[in-house]
Amino acid sequence: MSWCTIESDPGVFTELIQQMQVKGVQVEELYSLDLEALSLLRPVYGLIFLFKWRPGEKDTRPTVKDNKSIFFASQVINNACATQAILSILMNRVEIDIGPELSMMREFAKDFPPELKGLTINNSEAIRTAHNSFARPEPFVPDEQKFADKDDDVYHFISYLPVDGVLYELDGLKEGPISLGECGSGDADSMEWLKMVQPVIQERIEKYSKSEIRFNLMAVIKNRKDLYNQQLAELDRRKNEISGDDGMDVDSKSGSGNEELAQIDAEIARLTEKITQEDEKFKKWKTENIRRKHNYIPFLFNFLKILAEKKQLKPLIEKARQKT
Amino acid sequence: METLLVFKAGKMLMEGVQVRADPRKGLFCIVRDEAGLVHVQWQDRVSGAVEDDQIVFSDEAIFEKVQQSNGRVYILKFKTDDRKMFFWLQEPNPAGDERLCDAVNIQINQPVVEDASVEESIERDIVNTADDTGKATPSGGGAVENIRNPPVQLAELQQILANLGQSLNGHGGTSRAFQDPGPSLTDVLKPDHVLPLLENSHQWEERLSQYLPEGKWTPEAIADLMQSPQFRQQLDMFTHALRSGQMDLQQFGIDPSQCDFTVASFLEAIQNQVEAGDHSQRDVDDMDE
Repeated sequence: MSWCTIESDPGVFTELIQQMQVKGVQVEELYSLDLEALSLLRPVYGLIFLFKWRPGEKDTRPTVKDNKSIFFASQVINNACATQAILSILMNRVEIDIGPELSMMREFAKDFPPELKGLTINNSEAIRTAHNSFARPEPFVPDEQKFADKDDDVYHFISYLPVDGVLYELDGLKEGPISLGECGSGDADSMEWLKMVQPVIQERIEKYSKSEIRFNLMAVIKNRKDLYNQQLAELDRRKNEISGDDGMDVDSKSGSGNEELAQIDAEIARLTEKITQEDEKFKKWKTENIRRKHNYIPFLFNFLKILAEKKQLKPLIEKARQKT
Repeated sequence: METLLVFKAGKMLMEGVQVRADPRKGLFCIVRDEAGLVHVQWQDRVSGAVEDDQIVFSDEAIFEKVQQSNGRVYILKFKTDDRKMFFWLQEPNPAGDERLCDAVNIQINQPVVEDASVEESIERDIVNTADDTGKATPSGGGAVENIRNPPVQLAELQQILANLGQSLNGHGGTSRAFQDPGPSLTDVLKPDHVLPLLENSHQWEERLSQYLPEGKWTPEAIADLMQSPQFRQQLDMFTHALRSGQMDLQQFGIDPSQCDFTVASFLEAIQNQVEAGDHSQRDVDDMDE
């Protein structure tokens, strides 16, 4: 029943979400909080802020109690907190197709208090299996990651998203959601909640920068390729409208029709390019995830044997010794 | 108390946001007590007094160089709370600093049979949460009240923790890990050095593709893989496992007594194995004639 640590990487999170049978969602890392960057990522379902955990921070903000429309789960086990932060967004956005497993869980746990919701998540075989599939292979290291390096800091995750027109901060280590105020429609497309959340996150970033705490910001968004394909379909439809529905050929169209067609074509080219970029990114993520999960020890051993056969092993050791 | 690692180092004092060096000569010690718990201590070399003593559980802390300082300043940082200890190295040769730093990290992350610390910190979190919800306004309905009763929750969690505890039982580590002054696998397999060897390696491709997830790969793809962070991370883990005695060498057909927990000896054992294979092949060929 143990949960392994997994890397905080958008490629990992995106595939994890897919493995939980959620459709049409991906995760992107945000390097800038400016509104333009945020705006380009719309529709945004929620933001996840990751930082090195420091308990003992005083937070006197009140938490919301007994709000049945928000799915808020307490964080029960450390290693699962990334997955929990992602779930806290997925479970609270009705427009996302979260698949059968998560839908069932949401229904089953919807009236549970936070701790029980947390336990339900942690007892979920399906979710734990998906999560653990990203653990590094352990032919020689026990389940718990024993190797201490800089990247193994304990991270904590906080989610921000609008529910029913109110912006919430969901932190599994607190008693409940924290309301940050009303934010308009709270649609994934709306800029209003993004404008509201920006200074909140900015303040955290500034606070943590002072103590040199490392952090990451990720956005859970609609799958970009789906979005671009939808936009392309729309443009094609418009194109057909202008050039051919009423039997007239393009040449006899008015000047403005031609201009619009040119614009549409330019937009189609741009979107097609974007789709290619998304495909490449997903391909790269896929390769990285395969590498993460594959045990390279047999490869390594046989590689070393080949080097030995070619009498290249000793020279490599010597070269390495010279550097140290 | 068994001493696992000792080197000369001074300690530093935190005053507000400033860190000031204590000028005294001292020793940074990692020791293991009768209960198997690992302590980090600082000892005044002149008076012999042990002034600081912190128990460190596996995976609880890291020891790293402080980037913001020009001196040989290192910090022992605890992952789950605010504790920090600063040291400045007093060993005469700075070239050995990085190795000492690695050695410290290996020693403070030795597996202990029952890692009680994980259970403790989880229990602490859960108990806090339980207490807090105890104060919340009940939504009415007896079932909900019962659920909020801490002992009931803890019973379920004990089950989870028991399973966790089992999986935390590591193999026994040895305290000889820090004795490898030689290169790590990452050092030996530096891309710059290895990539030239991969040219004209098409025959390798056949032998190796069964061990690669995507099957048939080109030399370029292998080069790519070897430079990837995921692969290099596994190299680091392998080096660590080798050095701390957690690696089962017999799976490679290597007699553990041939290796002294260094990467170099492991590689030499492979070399020997290959050469022995060559000889026996040659003998077979000779016999055929």
